[in-house]
Amino acid sequence: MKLRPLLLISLICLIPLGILAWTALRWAKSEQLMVQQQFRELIEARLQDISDDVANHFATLERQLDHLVALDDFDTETLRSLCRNSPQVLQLFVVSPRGELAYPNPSGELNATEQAFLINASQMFTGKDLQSAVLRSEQASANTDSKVETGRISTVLENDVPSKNLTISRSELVDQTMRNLYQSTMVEGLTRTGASSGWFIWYWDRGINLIYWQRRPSGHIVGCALDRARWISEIIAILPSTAEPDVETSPNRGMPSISPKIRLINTSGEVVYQWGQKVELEDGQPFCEISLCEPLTPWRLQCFVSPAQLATGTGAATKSGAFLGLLGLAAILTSILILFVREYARDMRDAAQQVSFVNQVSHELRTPLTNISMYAELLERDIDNSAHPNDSILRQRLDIILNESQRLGRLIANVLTYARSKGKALTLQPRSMSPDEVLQAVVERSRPTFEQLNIQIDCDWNARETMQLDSDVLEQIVNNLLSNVEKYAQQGHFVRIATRSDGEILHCEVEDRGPGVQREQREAIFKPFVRLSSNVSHAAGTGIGLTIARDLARLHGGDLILVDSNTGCRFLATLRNASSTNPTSKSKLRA
Amino acid sequence: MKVLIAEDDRYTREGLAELLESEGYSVITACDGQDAIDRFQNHHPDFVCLDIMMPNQSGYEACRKIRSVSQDIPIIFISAKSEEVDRLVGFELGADDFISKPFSVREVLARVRAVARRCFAAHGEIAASFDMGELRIYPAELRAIRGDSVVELSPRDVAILKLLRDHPGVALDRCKIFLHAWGESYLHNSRTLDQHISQLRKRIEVDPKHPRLILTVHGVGYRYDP
Repeated sequence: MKLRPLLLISLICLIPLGILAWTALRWAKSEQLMVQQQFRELIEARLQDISDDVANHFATLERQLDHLVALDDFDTETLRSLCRNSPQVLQLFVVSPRGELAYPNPSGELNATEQAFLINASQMFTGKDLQSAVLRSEQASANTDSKVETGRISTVLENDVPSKNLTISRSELVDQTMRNLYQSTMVEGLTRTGASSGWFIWYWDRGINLIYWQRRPSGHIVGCALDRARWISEIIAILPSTAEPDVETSPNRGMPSISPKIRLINTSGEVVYQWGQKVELEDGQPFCEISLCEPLTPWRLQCFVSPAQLATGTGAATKSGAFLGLLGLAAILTSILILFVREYARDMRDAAQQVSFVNQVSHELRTPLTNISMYAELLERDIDNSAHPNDSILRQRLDIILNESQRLGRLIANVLTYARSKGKALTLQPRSMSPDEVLQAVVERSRPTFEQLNIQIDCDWNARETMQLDSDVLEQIVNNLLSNVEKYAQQGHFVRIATRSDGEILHCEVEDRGPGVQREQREAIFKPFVRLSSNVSHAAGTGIGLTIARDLARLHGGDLILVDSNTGCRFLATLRNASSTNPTSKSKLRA
Repeated sequence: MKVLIAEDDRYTREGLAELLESEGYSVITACDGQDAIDRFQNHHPDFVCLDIMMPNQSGYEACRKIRSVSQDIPIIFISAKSEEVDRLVGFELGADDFISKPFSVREVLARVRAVARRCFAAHGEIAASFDMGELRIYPAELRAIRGDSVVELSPRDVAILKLLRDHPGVALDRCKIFLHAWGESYLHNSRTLDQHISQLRKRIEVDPKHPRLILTVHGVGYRYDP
């Protein structure tokens, strides 16, 4: 098989395969992104479930604390007793409607817990943060029924107060606090009265502290600071244990199975608790995260997934599917290519065998034909040299032998040309020649036969200028047309051959006055082995003369058509000058 | 001029031989490729006509071997194989021309004459020309020139003209002319010579009906008067 068709066929297969591969890779990538997004939403939903569990815990705790701080008797001992009996509470406190801290009273006798609380939470009271938060919460509650202050997170660093306090003794600290902060501080009065409650967060002792407050009908704010260790342990108890199965997506959603790590992160970014698989983190960025529920909104739940696991888990199926699809497609295309190449090679082999066979037959026919015509010519010379050079009967019979051998030669040439055209082995061999000179020779060779048949030959030569044409092609076309006249239109007793040329296209008309061809059969006559009449008395022929003539004309950049004529047939053959480079003139030929 | 014809088909071989002999060529025939090589080595012909498809050795092989011995000798392939590739192979092997079967005898004679003339002219084997009236004859080129017109001649034509020119004003009898031009002493048919002279006159005389170069001497033969 030749390299060029093989290359073209390969390209025909490789180009769509390449496009498909590119499309499949893009599809796989987008599919992977989509799966990752779905996975992210799933993880976020799970994190939200955890956050909701925590929220439920705080709701329960809130109800307990509501009951605990529902106090109107602010007796110190009673409050201290209540503190002792409430393990989740670190310290109770009461702020009077005027904004003064009623319990623990900084100017009164304080136990160690109360002193520590006042030191740690000093700024919460002196800086009016709590009061401001309560007011904002109540205003917001009036509008949105929000119970929890979420708008502000104190900017006080966890270490601020303790670090300051490290430089002074505990008694001095108490005195300073009592004197500087509580006794001398003017606290704006909390004029609002009525029941409201909420959470407040404050930072001391290296961490967040939760404070639940409630405004009593008397205008007092009764609050409690929760024991941090206790509420953290309660939250951790809510969170899934490490023994819990990892996040696995449901198979029916087509999601991958990935084992992530989930962390609970505090405000300082420290890990409070984590569970799940051990994940090697490259950049420390979480796959997704959400804020924890109120009041722990500064805390975050973060999910980490190993990039390798993520890529494998969310893209492997897609990529492997795309790869398998491409592999299958490539296999199909390759199979088609192999089949096509085999068919093509078989066709070429058949064509080559056909051409070879025809060549062989042609050779076998040509040798005796050569002898017939050669000996006929030698006999003609002998007659010329004989005692009876003007023997008309001898000459007539000799002419018949010569004419028939020429006719047989044309038939063999036609069969060979047809076989070559089927095998695509026809090529042009243009040379510089005068069309009229070539065609005049053709007519002269046919003249004896036409004269015998009493067919008048009318010639109109107007293509004497030299053109680049294949003379064999031109001869064979006109020979076939004249042969048709001889076989099918001899009753018209007339044939006209006319040529004209514009230097680029040779026009050659062969017109007779025979029976002609009906309009609906005008194309059929150019098909091989088509005969318009089944009458066996009609002249014999191979039935491929016009087919070959048209093929040759088209091979030469022109055409052969049957044009309208009043009587008989009028064939117009056009041949393009082989040296012509004007591409626009091709359409003129077809017109 | 000695011509070797190698053709496996008997009738084609004999027909070609007769044709070339009738034009004055001396012909040697061979029936296959090996025979052609042998006869070429033994007879040293001036010209070779080869068929392609022959037994023993093909015409291509014979051509290659002949070319290895002689680069100058004219070689013409005469074959039924007329594909372009067949012609190209022939020319690649050093053939000077390619004649496809079926051929006309006139085509063969014209091509043989043209190739021979071209080859001999290229190799400097140009014999001296001579004049007969307004006609200048170039024996090696097998042609004559009158003014602007060129007349193709066969070796036999040249032989007859040269004999007449070498004996100006002498009436040469038919047997002498026949012996000189045909190489045979016995004149089989008197019309053979007369017909040949008649055909020759048509080509070289200005008015063949009133010849000036080859005059008929009734009862004897022909004469040239300068």
